[in-house]
Amino acid sequence: MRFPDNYKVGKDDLTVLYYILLASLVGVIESAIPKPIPFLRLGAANIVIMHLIFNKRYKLALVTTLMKTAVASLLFGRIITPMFPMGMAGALFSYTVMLLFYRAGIFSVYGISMAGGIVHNVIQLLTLSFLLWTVPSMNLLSLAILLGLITGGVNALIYIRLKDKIFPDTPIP
Amino acid sequence: MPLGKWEPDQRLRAADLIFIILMVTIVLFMFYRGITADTGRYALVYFRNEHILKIDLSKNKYYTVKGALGDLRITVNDGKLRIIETECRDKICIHRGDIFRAGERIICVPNEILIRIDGKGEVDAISG
Repeated sequence: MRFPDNYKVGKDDLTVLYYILLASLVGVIESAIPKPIPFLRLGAANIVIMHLIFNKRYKLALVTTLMKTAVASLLFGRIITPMFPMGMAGALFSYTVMLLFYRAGIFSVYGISMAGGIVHNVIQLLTLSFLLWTVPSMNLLSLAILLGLITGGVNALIYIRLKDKIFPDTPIP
Repeated sequence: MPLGKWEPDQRLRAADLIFIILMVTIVLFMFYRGITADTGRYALVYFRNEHILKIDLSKNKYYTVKGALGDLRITVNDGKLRIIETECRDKICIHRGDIFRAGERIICVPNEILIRIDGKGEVDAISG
C-alpha cells in the first residue's frame, strides 16, 4: 500500500495525534513519579479515555489507549520486559469495561472510572501470573482492587472538576 | 440513549454504590483469607517458570540466585524470607519486605524470578 501523493493532512488526523500525545504525556509524567508500591498510580490517562468514550468516539479511544501504552513502554525501555504485555492487556480490558459500564447507562462517572481502574490493575496482575504460570496471591489481588477503587474515584473527581478546563467545549471534530 | 455526546451522571448513583460495596466486600474477604493463612516451612524459587531452588525456612541462611538481570541475594531469618540485593531499577522486591505465610510471594518482574512460600493446603491438594 502506498501513501497517496495528493493526501492532505486533515482535521481527523490531527485529532488522533492530539489525543495520543495528550494521553502519552499524562502517562509519561505519571511514570516518572517514583512510587512506593507497584499499583499506586493514578492512571490519569484514563481521564482522556473517559472523555473520548463520553463523546462516543469509541474507535479513537481504543487507538489512543493502545498507542499511549506503546509510547510509554518505548520511552521507558519496558517494551522487552513483561511490563509491556501487562500494560497492553490492562489498557485493553480497562477500555472494554469502561465502554460496557458507560453503555449500561446506570453508572455515574464514579462507577465507570472505578471499574476502569480496578480492571486495569487486576488484569495486569493476572497477565503477570499467566506469564509466570502461577496464581496471584490473595493479598496482591485485594490490594490491586482496593487501589483501583481509590484511584478510579480520584480520577472521576478530577474529571468532573477539570473537564471544562482541560477539554475544549466544542465537540471533537 | 441520545446520539452524540452523552455524559453520565456526576453524582453517585445506586448502581455505583452497589458496585463499590461489592468490591469492598471482595477486598475484605481476600485480605482476611490472606492474613489468616498458616506460616510456611519451605520457599520455592522459580526462574522463567522453572523451579530452581527450595529454601528451608527453619535455617537462617543467605542464598544467591541468578536472575535475568543479575544476582539476587535472599536471606532467611526466624522463618521469614526477604530479598536484600537485586540489580533491577525499582527494587520493588526489596520493599516487599518479609514473607512467611503460605501462599505469599515475591515477584521480581525484571529478573523473571518468583519466590513462593509453600503452604500446607497446597501440598495437601497436590498429594491428594
